[in-house]
Amino acid sequence: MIDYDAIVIGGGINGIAAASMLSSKGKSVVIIEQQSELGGMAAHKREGPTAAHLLWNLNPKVIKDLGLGSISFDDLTSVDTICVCESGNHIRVKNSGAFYLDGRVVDTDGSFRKLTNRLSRYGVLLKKLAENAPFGTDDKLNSTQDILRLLRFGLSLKLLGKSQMRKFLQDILMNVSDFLLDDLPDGPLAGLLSADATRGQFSGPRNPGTVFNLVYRYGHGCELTRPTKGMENFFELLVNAIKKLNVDVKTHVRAEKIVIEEDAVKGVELADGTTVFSNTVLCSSGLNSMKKMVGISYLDIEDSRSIKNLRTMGTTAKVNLKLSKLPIFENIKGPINDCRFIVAPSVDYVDNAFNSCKYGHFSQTPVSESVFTFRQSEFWLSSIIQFVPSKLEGGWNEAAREHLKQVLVHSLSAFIPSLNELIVDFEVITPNDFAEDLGVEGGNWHHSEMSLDQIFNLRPTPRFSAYRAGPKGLYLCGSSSHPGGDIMGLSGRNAAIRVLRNTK
Amino acid sequence: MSITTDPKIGLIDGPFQRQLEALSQSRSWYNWAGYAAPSTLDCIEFEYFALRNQASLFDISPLFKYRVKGSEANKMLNRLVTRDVNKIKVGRVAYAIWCNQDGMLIDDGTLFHLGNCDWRLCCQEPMLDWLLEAAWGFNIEIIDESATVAGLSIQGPTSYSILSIAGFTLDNIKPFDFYQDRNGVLISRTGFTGDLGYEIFFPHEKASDLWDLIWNSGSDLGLRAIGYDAVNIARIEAGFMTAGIDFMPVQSTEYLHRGQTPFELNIGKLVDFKKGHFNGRRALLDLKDKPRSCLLRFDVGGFKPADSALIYHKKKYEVGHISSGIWSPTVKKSIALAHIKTQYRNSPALFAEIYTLKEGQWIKRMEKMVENKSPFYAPPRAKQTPPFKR
Amino acid sequence: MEAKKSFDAIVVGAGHNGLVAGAYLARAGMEVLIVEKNDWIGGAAVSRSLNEGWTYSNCSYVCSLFRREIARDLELPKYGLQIIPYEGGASFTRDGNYLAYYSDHYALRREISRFSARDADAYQRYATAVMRQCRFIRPFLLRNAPDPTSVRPRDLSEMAFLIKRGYELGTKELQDTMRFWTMSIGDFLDEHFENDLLKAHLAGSGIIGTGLGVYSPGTAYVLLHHYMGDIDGGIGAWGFARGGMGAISEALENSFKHHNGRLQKGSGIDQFIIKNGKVKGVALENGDEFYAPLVISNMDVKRTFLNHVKTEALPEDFKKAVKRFKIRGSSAKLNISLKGFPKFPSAPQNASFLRGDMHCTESLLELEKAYDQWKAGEWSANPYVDMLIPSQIDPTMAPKGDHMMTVFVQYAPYELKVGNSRSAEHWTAERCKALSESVLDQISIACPNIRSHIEHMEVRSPLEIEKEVGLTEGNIFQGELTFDQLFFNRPIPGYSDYSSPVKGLYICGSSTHPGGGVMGAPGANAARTILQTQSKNMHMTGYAS
Repeated sequence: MIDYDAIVIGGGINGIAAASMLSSKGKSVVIIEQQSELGGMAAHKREGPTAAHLLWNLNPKVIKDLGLGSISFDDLTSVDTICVCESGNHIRVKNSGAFYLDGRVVDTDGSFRKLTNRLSRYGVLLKKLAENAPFGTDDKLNSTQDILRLLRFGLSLKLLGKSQMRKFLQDILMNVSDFLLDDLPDGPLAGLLSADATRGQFSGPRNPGTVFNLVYRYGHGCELTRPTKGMENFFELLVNAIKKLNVDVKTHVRAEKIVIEEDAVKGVELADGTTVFSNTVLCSSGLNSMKKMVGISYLDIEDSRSIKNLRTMGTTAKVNLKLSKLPIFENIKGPINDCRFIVAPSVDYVDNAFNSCKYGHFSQTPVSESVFTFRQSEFWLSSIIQFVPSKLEGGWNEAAREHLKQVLVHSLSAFIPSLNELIVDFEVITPNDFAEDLGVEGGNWHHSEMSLDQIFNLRPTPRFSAYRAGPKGLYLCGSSSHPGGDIMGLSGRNAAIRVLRNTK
Repeated sequence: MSITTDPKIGLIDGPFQRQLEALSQSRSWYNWAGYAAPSTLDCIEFEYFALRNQASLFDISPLFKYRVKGSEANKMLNRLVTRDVNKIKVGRVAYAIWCNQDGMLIDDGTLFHLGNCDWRLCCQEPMLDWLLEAAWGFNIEIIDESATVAGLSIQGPTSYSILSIAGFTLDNIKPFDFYQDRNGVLISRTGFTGDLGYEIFFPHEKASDLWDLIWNSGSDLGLRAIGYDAVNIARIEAGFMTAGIDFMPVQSTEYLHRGQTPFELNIGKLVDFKKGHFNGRRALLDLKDKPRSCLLRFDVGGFKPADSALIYHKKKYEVGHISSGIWSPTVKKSIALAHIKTQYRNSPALFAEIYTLKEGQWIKRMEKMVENKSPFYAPPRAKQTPPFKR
Repeated sequence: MEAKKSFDAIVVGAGHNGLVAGAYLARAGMEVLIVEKNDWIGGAAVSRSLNEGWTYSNCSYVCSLFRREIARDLELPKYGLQIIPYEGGASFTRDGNYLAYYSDHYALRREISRFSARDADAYQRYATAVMRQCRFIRPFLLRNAPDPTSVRPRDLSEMAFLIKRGYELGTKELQDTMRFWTMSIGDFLDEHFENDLLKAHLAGSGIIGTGLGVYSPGTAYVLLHHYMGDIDGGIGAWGFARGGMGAISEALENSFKHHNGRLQKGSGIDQFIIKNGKVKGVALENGDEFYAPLVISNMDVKRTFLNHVKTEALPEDFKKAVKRFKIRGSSAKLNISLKGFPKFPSAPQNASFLRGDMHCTESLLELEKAYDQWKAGEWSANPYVDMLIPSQIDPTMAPKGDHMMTVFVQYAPYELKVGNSRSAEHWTAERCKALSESVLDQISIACPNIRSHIEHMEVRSPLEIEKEVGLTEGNIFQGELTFDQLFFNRPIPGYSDYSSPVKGLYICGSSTHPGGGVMGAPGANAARTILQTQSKNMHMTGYAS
């Protein structure tokens, strides 16, 4: 007895991508989501704006699968970056050029532009890897398809040219601090890039491998956008799109248990007592939640150990400030909500902000990314703040939350001196809150740390890197799988492709 | 300052060190899990024949012993081992093996079903880390009893009578049954010799009393304390394999791909695919029909022990090696456990290349090998219940 | 006899790699000159007597990595080299306890059990995992790293060897290997153990000599770098060279001289003589000039090309890449003459670990904090110390009844921060003294009355090591051991074959593959490459070929 060809647990971006891919190939699919709305981590909200306030790398292929060819420049507004400096010489980064607010060029020798171009070039390569399952994880070792893909990738490396290829093979393994400071003076631009490289990560800019994260983030076109009508509208768009694709959606109900018979998946038992039957289940949650739903007895001991050892430390909190009115910036041209404000004046600053996180504290000089949003008639300043440990010494009580807010407001005051007076309300969403609301281990934004030993065919764990885990018919489609986080949808899409191939 | 040995280095005393030392004429100790254990106490021939002809007493305290208890103990053990523990009744002992995720053997051992959701696992290799790993997420408790529970193995035709004299009622104890008295003494009808025999487990503090009790009870029945060398002959005759010799516990193999599946060790019957998931099941389903080699019993021609000999097909192609080979004093044959590459396992032309050194001269022999499907030696008394009293 | 001016090859720097390269070339039949700036040879593998009666292994102090193939090819034992393995080690705690390390398997098990029964078991798993990685990597040490961008036959064949080794591993093992290489030692230890002291004891090898912390990715490889050596086949075993580390250099010198090599001490190089893109010889600081079509520099890549090659001789890209090569000073050293033998109160009578490596760090976080201080330009307030007293086993090191102690200190920055300025010039005598006080405080955890036994002490800051030995920033590996500077990326992508843009100019120091430690492999690899490519009738023979 089968109700659906496939069940997708979790309606985050990856769940949506997986469902749409499967549905577009004629499979009947249902998405099961415990929250009242789809969108997962990105759409998570309490009182204020959604957790994700910008779109980084939503993959065009995913958009196409969704039948959203109509998402165009009208729907997405590109966003400039403003690097906040204590000196008042704020810098606007626009189309990979850097300017002071009065229009003078910062990057007189063009080194910043060259660097970002280099990143985009590398990014194209990584994108090729991201849009497919990692090598060597095919069910059959050394399948010809894998070897062909490997050769093709080798060729695209070769096409870079000898010196570029050499540079690539070195750069990609570097730490972002060295990588940046080789070409840039330490300052707001280097700070910006190192902050972008480490956002959501439990690593500072001096950690080897962080260049990979930077390339990853900038590589997918280096384009930073926001949905013109707001994030919520964007998620509505997605929901409508999958409904059009005849994907069933069950919200507000938790997937309690994955039903298994004779080591094969039979369906999913829901919290309301009903069971949905299918021979294929795609799980977009983190591995710990997966383990709970499957039952540890169905996982090999080595696998449960890998799950236990998975590094999922959350380092990123959200502070949303409700404002009585928008502050006025005389020297910023254009709408204020078309900018993101970065507080990361130098690489050292970012590194210091990370240091305290290692010992269970948050830094008094945090890194943050803030965006102004309007909702109905409310004004919000939505800030992603780092590095904030999930395991805070002394625990996350009200005083700690208040303190985090003050630390943020203080660090923004160089830019918005009147900020404190404008605040009418605020909310602090700690990594723990994310973990609690969404079942994301440690509150990590990418489900698990994206460090070199947890990416590509080592993601989420070496044995699970083929999007498969445990009993027959169980697939992993969350951002804990290759290629990982950043509202990209590729983990879900790749998993769906794997499902289609295996059920052919 | 002259250099003296570090007091913390070297072999340590087990619970019977005083008794064994008093009996040790050959002063030949070997390292068993860090304990000083006797290779022989007197001489191997007499010790062996005591085992097969009267009764032998052997200290098995260095075995690793773990207690597994709690409401989910059966569930966790079924995840760990390849056989179905739900089929093992309380009061029974079972031989069990466990594999890693890739289906390679980690170790073998005996599982004692002590009570409802209460088990003891005895094995050769330290296993605490692995057991705790396997127990993660289960409501159970793992207690390392290795240093608190002592053990003695009494094996041989008169072992039953000696224990009867010692006051233990074992009439209805069938092979793989065990008996527990109120003082925390557990006697199981098990052993590593293929003969009639028992293994006795008890808390360390009772060690001296128990030794004396058994020792005195055996005085008229030829009881003799023995070392491992004699046990080793008996275990090969019984066809039992030893970790590190006949199979490589996969967790301590440094060289890659040196692990072996149960099917390669000829113990595939211990793998129960029907019981639900267990560690390594998915890999074993795949590997079941593709053994690279096979551990088999062989009768070897000639009169020389064939230990470590290489095996040739048609005296030409190297196709395997002997992992345990001895001259059996009881069956009067040269016998061996050997790994043979699968495609040659039925070859009628297998030869062992045996080298012997005699007075400075090496002699090489090519001896024909014939597979022996049953144990080399399995006396009926081993299974008879109640055992014959003498 | 008039001094000879022309040679087949000149080696600049008589460090152990320079001596190895020189000895191999001389052995193959070349006329070789080695020039050394100091009045003594050995570079960082030296024994010096700075206090009468005591011999210091001034820089490097223990030996394991030195390739046995080289020792055998160059017949070093015949020329006086004797390596003595030492026994275990220990980490001491502030509350008077200690964790000892024994090579006796079950003694170690019992010792770890004092802290955690589970960890005693897990140690087996850990050791097996590390050994597997060692076995994988060892064959690569005496081979060149292939340039993945090149289609030259030798690069392709090295690449094929790499792929073959990887293929033999199989997918799963290859994944484990990749994971190990990219992990931090802290994470690797956290996966295996629960006890902080044990983790701290084992983590030291992952950070020694580097500008990385225990939680920096890539430090698991650094651990391997310290484990992949062996003494007589005992992989991972460490030992002392009898007579101090200078004994290695001395044996190499003797072997070199036996093959008619010539050594010129006392004046360093001023410039490489380069004409039309080809090296012609060297001009020394004292004005002497020597000529050869092959010149091999034992100096690190930065020193070689930025200080001693005229800048117009090098392409811009190359110079830029050399400038970017990261060499970070992170360690200091104390060499101490001890009057008598100090008491280690927590150690039991006759403890063997007193003859091994001793440490005073209790947790990974303590190590990470020490690293954070280094990043900020300070030396660690609670530094990681690796201290040994080799004179207990090697009586040639100190007068009767007295002892010599060698203390390696991690971390100490090259550019010290004072106020708002960071500079190596801040390493004044007073600050060296202050550093040594911090170190002695740390040592006092194990040995409270250490100060009263000190007869003489040499404090070596990164700056001082740089000045004397010529190691940039005093970095013991001639360059960071991070992924981006290893294998085909070491020292510069495209130049992992020991060559340079200047024809005939080669480098053979630790800044080349496979990197630092008294290993000799870079020297042997460079010699092999030179003989293969530059000589038609001379060949490299022996185990390192």
